[in-house]
Amino acid sequence: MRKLTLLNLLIVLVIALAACGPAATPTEAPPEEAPAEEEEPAAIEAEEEAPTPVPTADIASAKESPMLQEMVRAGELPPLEERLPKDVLTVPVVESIGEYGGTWHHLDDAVDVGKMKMTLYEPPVRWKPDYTGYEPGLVKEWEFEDDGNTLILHWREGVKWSDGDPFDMEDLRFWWEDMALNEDYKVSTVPWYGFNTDNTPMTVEFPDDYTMVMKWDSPHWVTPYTLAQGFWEGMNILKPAHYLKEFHPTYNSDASYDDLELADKYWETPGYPCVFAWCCSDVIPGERITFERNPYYWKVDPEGNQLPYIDYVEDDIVTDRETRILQLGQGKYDIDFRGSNNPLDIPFLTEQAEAGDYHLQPGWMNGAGAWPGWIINQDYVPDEEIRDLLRDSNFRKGMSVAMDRERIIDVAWGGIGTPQQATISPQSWHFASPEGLEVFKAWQQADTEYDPDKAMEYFEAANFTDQDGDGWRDLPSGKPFQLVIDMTGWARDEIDTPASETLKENLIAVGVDVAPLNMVSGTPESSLREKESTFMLRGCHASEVDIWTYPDWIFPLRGGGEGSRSWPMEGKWRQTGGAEGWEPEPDSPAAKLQALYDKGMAEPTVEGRHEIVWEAIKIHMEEGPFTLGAAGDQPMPVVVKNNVHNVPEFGILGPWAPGSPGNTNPSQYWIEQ
Amino acid sequence: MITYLVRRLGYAAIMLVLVSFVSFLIIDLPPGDYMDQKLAELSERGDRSAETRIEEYRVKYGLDKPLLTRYWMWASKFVTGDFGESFQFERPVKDILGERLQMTLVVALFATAVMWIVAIPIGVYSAVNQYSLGDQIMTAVAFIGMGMPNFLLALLILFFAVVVLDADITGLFSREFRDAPWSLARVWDLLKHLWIPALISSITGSAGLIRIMRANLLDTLGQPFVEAARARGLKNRSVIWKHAVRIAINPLVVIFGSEHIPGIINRNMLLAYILNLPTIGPVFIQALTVQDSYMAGTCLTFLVILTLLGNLLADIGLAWLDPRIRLE
Repeated sequence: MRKLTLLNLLIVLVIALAACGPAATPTEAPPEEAPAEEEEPAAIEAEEEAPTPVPTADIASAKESPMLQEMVRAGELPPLEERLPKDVLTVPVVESIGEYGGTWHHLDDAVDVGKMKMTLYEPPVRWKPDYTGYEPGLVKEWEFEDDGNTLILHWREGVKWSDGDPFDMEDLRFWWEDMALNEDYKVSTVPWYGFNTDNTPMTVEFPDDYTMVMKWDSPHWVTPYTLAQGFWEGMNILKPAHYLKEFHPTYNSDASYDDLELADKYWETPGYPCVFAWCCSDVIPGERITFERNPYYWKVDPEGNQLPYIDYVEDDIVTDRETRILQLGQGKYDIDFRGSNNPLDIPFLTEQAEAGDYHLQPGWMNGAGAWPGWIINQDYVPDEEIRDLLRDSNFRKGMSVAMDRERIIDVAWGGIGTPQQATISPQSWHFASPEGLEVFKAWQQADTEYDPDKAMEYFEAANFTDQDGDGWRDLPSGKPFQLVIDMTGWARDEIDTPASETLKENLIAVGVDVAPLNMVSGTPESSLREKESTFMLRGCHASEVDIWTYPDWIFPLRGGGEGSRSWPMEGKWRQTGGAEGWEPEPDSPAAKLQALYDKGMAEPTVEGRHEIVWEAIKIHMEEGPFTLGAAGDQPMPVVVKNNVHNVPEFGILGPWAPGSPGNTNPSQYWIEQ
Repeated sequence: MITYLVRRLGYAAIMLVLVSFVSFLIIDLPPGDYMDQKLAELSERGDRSAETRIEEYRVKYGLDKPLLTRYWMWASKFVTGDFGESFQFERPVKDILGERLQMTLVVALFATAVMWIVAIPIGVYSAVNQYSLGDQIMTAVAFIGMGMPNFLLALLILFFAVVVLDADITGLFSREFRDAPWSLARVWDLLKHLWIPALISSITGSAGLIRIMRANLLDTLGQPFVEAARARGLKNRSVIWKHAVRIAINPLVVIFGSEHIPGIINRNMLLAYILNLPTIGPVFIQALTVQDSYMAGTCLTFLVILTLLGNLLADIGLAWLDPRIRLE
């Protein structure tokens, strides 16, 4: 029996020792000084959207990949001169002319392969690779008539789908008339920019094979740029009519709209004709999608070689985040931008870099204006007094100066980051000029000093004092008050939770009773509080590069759960044309901002619109903050294997609108064979 | 026997309807629905066109109708084999589950087999050499395994394999073999990947089996017929394995039927999620998280079907194994 107790003791001791061992400390990442903003050269004039200048190549001397040469020799493909369009697009290369060949092992996190779509990024108008503005894509030029009421798009001539069928206005007409306008087909609808002021759809005409004319009853200066946003605007109007007609009930009486819906998925239907660099060729649903080079791709490099360089892209779908990071550390994926999406993984990925034969690409930032941030609800529904308090700028400024930003950065970010107020992306083209930069800097520093005494002064001014002597401040009427902070995980749980807890401590120190509320991110319950406007403070991550295509961070235009930020009800009023929501009171921030938005949409010049943004930001500074921010931009882990070339050393990954990495031309990335 | 079977199947059918309704109800309990969450996700990303489509989707999937209507629509089609459409995948549930069925069975079978092959002999050894050093060590390890969640162990092993061993163990096949036709090499590759879920499963799941085996065998070994067998000169091994274990294994048959058969779906769900195995488990978890009603409802219903079936099979198996029950 004694031997037994001894043995048991031994086992327990071993376990205890193992548990008490030093926890592995992550090695310090090389201190990345997150630059506050990119120092752009003076005044970016993006009025003419000229493509990044490049020597144009001669089609006659164009070359193609060996894989395609084989097929031409075997008679399966027409020769290259017949496949390239008249208006070929030349893409500049980042480092060097590439070699053909290879497979890009690509990582995705969900069945709808959003990250792959960002890689394929092929809208009619594109974001420039340096984020300073827009440039032509499939549309080679555009102009406005009628004071901005009419937009004429000139598409490239001679482009062909990946199966050889010509790409022309029949494809766009099919999209517009047989899908978007078609009331029976629910999946494709008239895009949000396609309505007149009386809610009727715009008119679209096709005077010839390569021209598309859109007509509204009001100016739509921003629409060409809207087409460049992500993969959900411009790419969704590119439909291969010749392929889809077979599934469309109007053209094939045996087909149903369900068939059409199933077939119309360019990212997971093998053989779906596309105009991207790679088209879907094989699918294992929920696991992996393979894309193969498009033999009719209409772009070449400066020496005339047809792009893309890489033959295949294999997109793996891995839903668990930890598994993705481990796999990235192993070097399983050749180029990855958003597999981790979290700067806190940089130490681990840096450690594994040598073993995995990759490096973390420098220069890629999140583009965050607030990370973390908290949206302050201006339209709190359940209680009018609380709503008035939240609307009182003294209360909000008080919260802002009560926040110890340095401490939040220490706790949530391990000390890496710059304290700032919530803004939009520092790299936004609105701040590219010297004046814009001034506005940005002022916004960044608005109400950011850590001054609990000043906070208490602000609270006094808001009549927010402790009236019943219990140590907590009460509403002006004397009712006790508890501030509820929704921790939504939007800014990532590892950041949001410690930051919200620290904010709570800061506010408790100045007498505010705070209760953080844990929401499971991505669940319907979380978005319901936004929709019904029952939240007070809501954790968020703010980033936006072009506010005119995504106005919600500055302008209240939409309802809760549909994109609103601080004004769910007043935005809803605007969105529904007055049917629902609350009408903004005259001279309230919401009313002023909505008026400014209208002014901006009617403004024809890019510079003029920048100035209107600055006016709107001034309102946010003076009457704000409407979103509290603790820290700003952070570097992002971008994994690039050592045998990969032409991935640029600057990019923004936070906002999806610029279509990164797609806007940096993945077609010119190449892998050493 | 036939009447017994018919009666059991009848009860099973009633149970199935009840449980499927309750599960549908529970999945729907959280406020809001899948479309709210989808819309919020798309808006966060900046997709402004989403809102026009979301309402249409809601109508299409009948999310604007009351619960009973939706349940009836789904249940009436279920019996014909149409399990509805998954909101996430935007494809029929039947297709998605069908694609994953083969691998789910392979993984479940392999993991269960390993668990049993490990647990039974250890249980027998523990009983026969009660309180010996071997018995104590095995028991300790089994209990540590039982106390540890299997997905935690999976993460630890994954980390160890990747960082220390530099091995690629996620998924079921290495990159070269993923599309290859079936061959001996491919089977070997599959086994190389299968040992991880099997190992983790057995570490965390066998404790129960070991202890029950041990306890029952100890009881059985104390019975007079064992002594009588020994007295007649039968070899010890034959006494233990041919006679005693056969009696002692009864409760484990019940466990196999009631836990391991439905366990095909739910036993290693989180494990499969982390290791990125192409089985039904991860899909089920995702469906529950985002309120993908038809997918989650279908998986739950199959889980219940398997449970009822498993219990029925266990009862029959018990009757077959143990003549005392048969003659009762």
